[in-house]
Formats: sequence, structure tokens, C-alpha cells
Amino acid sequence: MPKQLKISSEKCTGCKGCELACSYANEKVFNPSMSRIAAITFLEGKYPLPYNFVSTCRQCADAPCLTVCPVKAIRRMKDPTGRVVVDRDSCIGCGKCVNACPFGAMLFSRETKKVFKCELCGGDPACAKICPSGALVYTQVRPFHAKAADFQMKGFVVLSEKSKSGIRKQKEER
Amino acid sequence: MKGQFPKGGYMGKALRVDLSSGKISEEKIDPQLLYEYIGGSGLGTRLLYDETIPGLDPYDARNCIVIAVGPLTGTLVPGSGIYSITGRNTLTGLLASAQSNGFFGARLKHAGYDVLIVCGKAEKLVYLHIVDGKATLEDASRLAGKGTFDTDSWLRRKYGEDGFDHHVSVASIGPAGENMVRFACLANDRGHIAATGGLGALMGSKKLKAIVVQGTLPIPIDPADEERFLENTVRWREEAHNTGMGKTTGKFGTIGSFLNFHSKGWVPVKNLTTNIFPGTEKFHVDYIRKKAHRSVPRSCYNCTFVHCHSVQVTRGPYKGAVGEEVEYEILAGFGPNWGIYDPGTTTMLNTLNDDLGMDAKELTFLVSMMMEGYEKGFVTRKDLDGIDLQWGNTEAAVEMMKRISRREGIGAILAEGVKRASDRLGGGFPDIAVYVKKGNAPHIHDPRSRWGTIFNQVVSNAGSQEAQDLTARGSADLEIDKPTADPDEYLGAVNAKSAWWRQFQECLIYCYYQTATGKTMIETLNTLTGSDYDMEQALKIGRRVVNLMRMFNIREGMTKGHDSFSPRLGTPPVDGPAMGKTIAPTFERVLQSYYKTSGWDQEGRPTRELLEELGLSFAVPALKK
Repeated sequence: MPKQLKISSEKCTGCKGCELACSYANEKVFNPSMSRIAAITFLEGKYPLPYNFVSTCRQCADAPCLTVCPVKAIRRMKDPTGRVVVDRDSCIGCGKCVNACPFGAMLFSRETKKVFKCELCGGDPACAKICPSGALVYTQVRPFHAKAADFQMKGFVVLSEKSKSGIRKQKEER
Repeated sequence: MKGQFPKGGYMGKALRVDLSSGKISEEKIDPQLLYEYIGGSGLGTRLLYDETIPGLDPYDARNCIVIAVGPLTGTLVPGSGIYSITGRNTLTGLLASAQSNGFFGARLKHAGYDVLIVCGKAEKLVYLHIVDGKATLEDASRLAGKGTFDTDSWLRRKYGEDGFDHHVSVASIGPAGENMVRFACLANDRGHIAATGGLGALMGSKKLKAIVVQGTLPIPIDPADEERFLENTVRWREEAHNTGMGKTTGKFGTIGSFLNFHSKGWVPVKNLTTNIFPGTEKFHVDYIRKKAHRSVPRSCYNCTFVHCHSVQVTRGPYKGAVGEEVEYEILAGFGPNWGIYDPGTTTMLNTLNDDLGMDAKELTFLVSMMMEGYEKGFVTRKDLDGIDLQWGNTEAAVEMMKRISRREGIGAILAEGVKRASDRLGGGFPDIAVYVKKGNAPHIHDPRSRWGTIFNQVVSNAGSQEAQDLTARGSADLEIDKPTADPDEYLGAVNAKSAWWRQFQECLIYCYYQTATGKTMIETLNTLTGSDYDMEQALKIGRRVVNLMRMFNIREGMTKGHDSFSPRLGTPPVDGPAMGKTIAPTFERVLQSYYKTSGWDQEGRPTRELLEELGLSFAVPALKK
């Protein structure tokens, strides 16, 4: 089994330490907007809230970003992590992978006009080291698939309900 | 200061907003000021000192509010989302310095500024929006009268929910602030409060409803010391868990201390008329956490603890109410102090109070004073507009809170704060009012036998606590191993020294619960900013800030008479574990010992030589007043 980030959103306290650790490890600055991981906090709605949802690359075994890339700038490393990495030199910034990622984990840099994503800090992720609550653990997990069965996570249920209710509301208004 | 400073940690810019003309300008902060005051309360006080015209009424449009963060804000240092707000205390006219946790401070920095100075007065209600170094004033007329939660929701929905690219924080005032209730507060990030000194009322007088900050600007680090800075922050995070506070507060929150404090007679019960109340088992942290509420963790920015929770009441008359898990002081203030012995009710009251935007300290001693007055017949039900304000009557308390926030009927008198209201109502009220410093309520304890708290509050220049409360513990950083067990000279001397250290910590501006050893904190600061502070200099900075605060207040006409407490605080508890203890007989001796250690004269005024030594020569003219 590959060693990857095990994410337990229900343990997340929403301190956003991972965002700082990530931007520092990868960009040498403290800037959450340059982070490859996001602890998204939903503050409103029905209790129990706030609901925290950790969003980052799951290094999917069937990575959609990898398959859609027209210039083959995205590839899978042949090390035990099997992580998916972006070759920034060959990236043309078309954004297809950003659209293809079901998790919103492929990010676009407005400065360099290229994409960037979590590459597990080369095999030693900084976010997992800093996480105080155990929501992020770097350990061996079953490979993740970007298909329906693996989507049965609380976060996506909440998200889809939220968007559904939004649509329903719009219809009612019409 | 050696060579170039600062090399990291600061954005280096201040934003000045003149609400009268609508002009917004940016200015560079003098590096010398940053070196001498670091940031937070210290920098805020210094800038405020320069901006303030002495002797003005707190609501005069020429007064300023200074919001400041520090070099550590927004970095990996634990608890780095705090900001400090300084301004003229609307209750006393002296200095008020308040801090609030959450995320606001870090996001202000990511928006590009270390300091925000707000002056003038807008014609109609506005809010300030700051994003990536651009600031605009927007019309807030549709937010008028809205509570702090609704204001937060509305503005965050407008500027983007949380996510990869949207990091939005809102600090706003509630209806109490808009109606200039003298103890209105500023609330940020849904339920984090900068309470002390009525700075919300000051914002209300300027017609500034809210401040929205969001940004994507990076915080620079001294490149020479990157690795060591990271090592230091990691050590800080570890040490924060191992302090006395980390072991208790980190696990159980501040409510974990409730029964311990009760066993010492430090919990305020019924406006300090007694120290005993029934049903203490309901205030055990296990009961509150496991039986009375259900909870999910909710953390401040970069907190290493999991002690804050968002809760729902599962038991009692207010089953279903949601809110933040209360802190010890709120639990005592909205609980036993009002004769309410159900923790779920305090959660409901806390949420309401956060929404209305009032300082819980002033509010609890105000309502408890009215309850005692009502019981003793100083006021009738007719005087209270028909509200049956008996001990433990939650509905009446809720109604009273709403009326105070709207300044309706009796609320208009009470909205002036404990001291002013008791003077205005007259009769027996001045004798039962609880306040210090001729105007503001103390923190929510029964401080009469808690020497560190009462003395600290009485001599504080910041409107709230100024020094560390060392009644029950020592301080390793200050090499004080003996707690202040008695009200004697030792208490005064210890209070003076711990004030310097505490104020240095307030200049660093990080969460007080996440304290590491002094050595680690100073090293972290040095490696981040490329400075060369040591313990001696740190204490000097703290001492500089304490003296500057003192000079601010002296310039505003503060005398030795202000270092005093109300008659009720001078009486000994009549029952309970602290029965008969009081600081009153020895107070003058303690005070003189405090003045002496501080290097002040017998009237509590700094000497000219001391001010010059601390680099405060500019404040010397104020001594002549």
C-alpha cells in the first residue's frame, strides 16, 4: 500500500496550521493563498457547526488530471508514494486539469500562469507534522479512486446538499 | 538596533482612514518605532499617544482607534491570529487596550498592513473593506441595527466564503455599539470579542459598523534564519503544551478551573453578596461538556490546543440553543453572579450578548447590581419598566440586555456603565456597585481575596488586566517562585515586575494561553525579524509600554485617586472559604510598594529621569500637568 495523507475531516479543528506549514514548506513564505491544502470552515447552517473540511490532492489511483493533460506535464512518480507531480516547465497553463479535478485540489497560480498541487513535500508532508488534532496523518492507506464509491464522504454529502438546496431555492424563486 | 531592521515579520505599512473626509492613505511605519515597541498593544499605545489630543470627550470625532498586530501574527507561532485595539476608554476617558483572538489579525496582515488607524466620523453608517493593500469605505446602511452574527454572515457572503482563495474575516459592532452603549465591544470571526474599554462604542460614535479584511500577500521571514525560526516555532508549540496553562486550559478550557476557583472563594455570586451557591456539581467541566452540551471543536488561527468548542445545549430550559462554549468568566458572570445555576442558560446568554455586542464584565456587574438593588428595594418594578429583575430570572435578564443595547427606558441609564449608573440612580447603589479605576468593572471574579487580580485591576493603565495574576503561581521567566499569598509589599513589587513582562507579551501579540518560555519567545522573535533582543531588553520594552500607558492616563488627568476600588470591593466576603479577607487595610502599603518598584513617586507618577532612560522624553511635558 502506498504511503499517503490520511485525512479525517471530522477531527479537524479548523486552525489552518496546515495551510501555513504548506505555504512555508513550498514557497518559503506564510501565505495561505499559496497553500496546496485548505481547511475549509463552514460556519453557517444547522448545528453541528462549524463543519471543517480538509481539501487537498488525494493522489488518486485513476487521477483525472493526469489523463486530461494535453502536454503530459503531469505524471506519477515511481516511488512508494505514487504521488502525482506537475512538471512546471512543460505546463502550458491551459487549466484542463483544474477543471478535471473533482476535489478542487489542482490550483492555478495567477503569477506564473501555471498549475500547482500537493506533491507530498517530496515524501515528507509538512502539514501532517504540524496538525495538532490528528486530522492529517501521513501513513499507509488504500489507494484513492476519483469515482463515485470513494465520494461517499461526509464533506461531499454536505457540499452536494448545499448546492442542491441552492438549486431548489432558485427554482422556487422562479 | 544593529544594521537593517526589520528583516522579516512586518508588512511595514500602516493604513490611515479618515472617516470625516473619506480619505484613505498608506504610510510607512518608522523602523525605530517597531524596534522600540515591537507591535500589538505597545505600538498601538505609542501611535495613539501621538495621535491623541488630551482632554477630549471619548466621543469627540478627533479621537482615533488604532488596531495593531505584531511580527509573529500570521506565522506558524501558535495562536497568531490575535490583534490589539487601542483607543480612549469610553467609560473612564483613559486608555483602553483590548485584544481579541480568532483570525482577524492574521488576515489584516495578509491584506497588507501591520497597523490600522481610524480617525474622524462618517456622516452615515459605513464599513471598511481591505483587500491586498486596497481599502474602500462602503455604505453599511442595510447593516444598521443588525447583530454581529448577521453582519458577519452578510459580509462574508458578499466577499466570499472560506476556501482556497477566500480568507475573509469580519470585525463588527452590534446594536449596542451603534447606540453607543458605553461598554459596547468589537466582535470578530463570530464570537471572538475585544471587550475592554467600550471600543465598540467608539466605533459606533464614528459610524463605522464593520471592518472586513482579506488578502493573499505573503508575510516575509528573515531569510538568514529561516531554519532556526521554524525550529523555534516548533519548540514553542511543544512548550505551550507543557506549561501549567497548557495542561489545564488546553484540555478543559477555562471552565475547567471553575470548581477550583469556587473552593477558594473566587467565583462571584450574586454581586459579591455571598460566596456560596447551590448545585456546584452542574459546574463541573465533565457535566458541562458531556451532559449539558454537545460540541464540535472550533479553533482560532493556528491554535495547537483543542479547547474551544462550538456547542449546542442539550439539557435545561434552553435546550437547543447554540453558541461558543463559554469561558470561565462568562460562566460565572451570567451564572452564579445573576443567581442562575444552569450552565446551558449561560451559553444562551453568551450568544445573545455576543450578538448585541457588549462587554460581559461591565454587563454582569451592572445587571447583578440592579438585581441586588431590586431585592433590597432601592428600585421598584415600576422603575425598571415593569421588568421583574429577581435573582435567577433569565427572561428578565434577557429583556434588560436588549433594552440596554437599545438604550430604552431604564436601559438608557444602565448603558452608561456600572459607575455612572450607580451615581445617577443614587440611594444605596453607590455602595453595592462593583468597579475599579473610578469607572470600569473588573474581570469577572470575586477578586476580594484574589490579590493578584484585584491589585492588578486597580493599578492597571490598560483598562483591563495589565500584569500577570500571580496569586496562585509563580513565574519562571521572572524568577518569581513564591505566589502572592497575602496582600503585602511583596504583592506590589511582584505586580510591577510581572506587568513589564506581560506587556512585552502583549507587544508580541500571540495567544496568552499558548505561552512558551521567555527564552523561546525571544529567540523566535529574533530569528523572524533579525533583531537582537534579550530578556533584559524585553523587560525594558514592557516597562516602556507600562510607563507610556501611565503617561497617557496622567495626561488625561489621572491621579492617585484613580488607583482605587469601589466600596463593595473593599468589604470582606461574609461567608465561604475567603471569609473576612480583604486588601483594604493594607492597600496603601501595597500601592506604595508597587510605585516604588515601578520607579514612580508617591503619587504614582513616573520621574523625568525614568522616562528619559526608557526613551520616553516626548512624554515628559505631560508630567507638568
